[in-house]
Amino acid sequence: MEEKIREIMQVVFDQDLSEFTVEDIAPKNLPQWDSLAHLNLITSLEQVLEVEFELDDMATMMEGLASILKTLEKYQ
Amino acid sequence: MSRSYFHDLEDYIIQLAQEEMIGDFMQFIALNLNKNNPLAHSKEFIDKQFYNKSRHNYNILLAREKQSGEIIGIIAFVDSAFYDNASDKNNFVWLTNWLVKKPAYPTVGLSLLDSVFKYAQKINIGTVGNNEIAGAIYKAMRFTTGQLLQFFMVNRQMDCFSLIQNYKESYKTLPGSSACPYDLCIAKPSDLDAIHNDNIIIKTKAYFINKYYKNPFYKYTLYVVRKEGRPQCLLVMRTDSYEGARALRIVDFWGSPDCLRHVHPAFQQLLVEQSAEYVDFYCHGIDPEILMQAGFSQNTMDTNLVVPCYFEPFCPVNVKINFAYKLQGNQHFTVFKGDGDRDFPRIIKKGL
Repeated sequence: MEEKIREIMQVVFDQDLSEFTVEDIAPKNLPQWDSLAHLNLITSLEQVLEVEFELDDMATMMEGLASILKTLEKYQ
Repeated sequence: MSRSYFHDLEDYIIQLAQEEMIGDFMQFIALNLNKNNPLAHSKEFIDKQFYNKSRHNYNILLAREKQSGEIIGIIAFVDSAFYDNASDKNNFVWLTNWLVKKPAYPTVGLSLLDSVFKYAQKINIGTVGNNEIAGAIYKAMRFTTGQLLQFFMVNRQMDCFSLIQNYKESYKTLPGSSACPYDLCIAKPSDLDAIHNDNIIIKTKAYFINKYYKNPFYKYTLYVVRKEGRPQCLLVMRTDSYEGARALRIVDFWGSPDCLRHVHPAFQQLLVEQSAEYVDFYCHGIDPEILMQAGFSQNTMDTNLVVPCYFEPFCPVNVKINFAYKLQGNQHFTVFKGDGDRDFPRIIKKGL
């Protein structure tokens, strides 16, 4: 699952994330991860994973990849 | 809502604006939006729009950088209880201003929005007048998004117009028989109790009185359509003018739209009495066929026709007004220019 999410993020943020740890993949380290990019990421995740996130979860996932992975556990 | 912080994040906090923070808020608006915006220079205007008398603070959330204390983003809102705190139908929150300092912490905008969601909990939420970027965000969050339709009716006794540009006779929709039992007159307070509506937003008598009758910035007139003496619907209107030419603006509506089919003669009489060029009506959720039957035309904004919206200062351009909302059910929903705080003055007279 992590690999799949990383692939989606690389497309959305247009950046190679292979050298980043899970904890490092967060808005504070990726200047292009703004509110609109976050929603693009959410939309991409929803399409690829065929899920529909709650509004609360969309906000929680702003914290970074670690939070996204944790949130996704709820939807599996 | 008793917590002073909604979010305590790594780099910034989000908190409700308190009395002593309004100076910083005004400065933020001046620096990041427009120093001429009333929010940048009129505390009386801010108090009127956002001061929550029951909580003794403001319906404004501030994002503040922890290290510097600097405001890096704001979001303001109005809930149903703002104009009628006795109502037990506090079921809607209108987002009004949403602004983030650039460059800022990347997701501060969404954090602010999320904080309002937490405030609103499971009630309904919407906005009028959002920009395209915000619209994309709302759409991604599965809000219903769109643009208000602008309908207008010209004064048929006028041959030339100075406000409307490139008007052609073909826009005139001639309604059917004018002989009907409906009339349009200024509403009495008792009329406000007699009008029913199945819209999810509950607008009460106190709502109309506090928002419109007691408005310190604009003079609104509330009209009621009666059928055989019985109130059917309410129209909230005000006048805009430029160099002596006048326009009537319908900014809010309450009741059954069906009765509007019959109001063409009454509107024509009103336009003549007021010496107004036209009356316009920005709305979503009212069947266009009803308004066409009433003698309104739609400004589709894809021709050279211009039906002005901005008068402070006057600007002869068409204005598209976006909206977005998210409901807790699948109800029919209407939106008007006066919802939220979209119908607010851009120029505040000195002393206010």
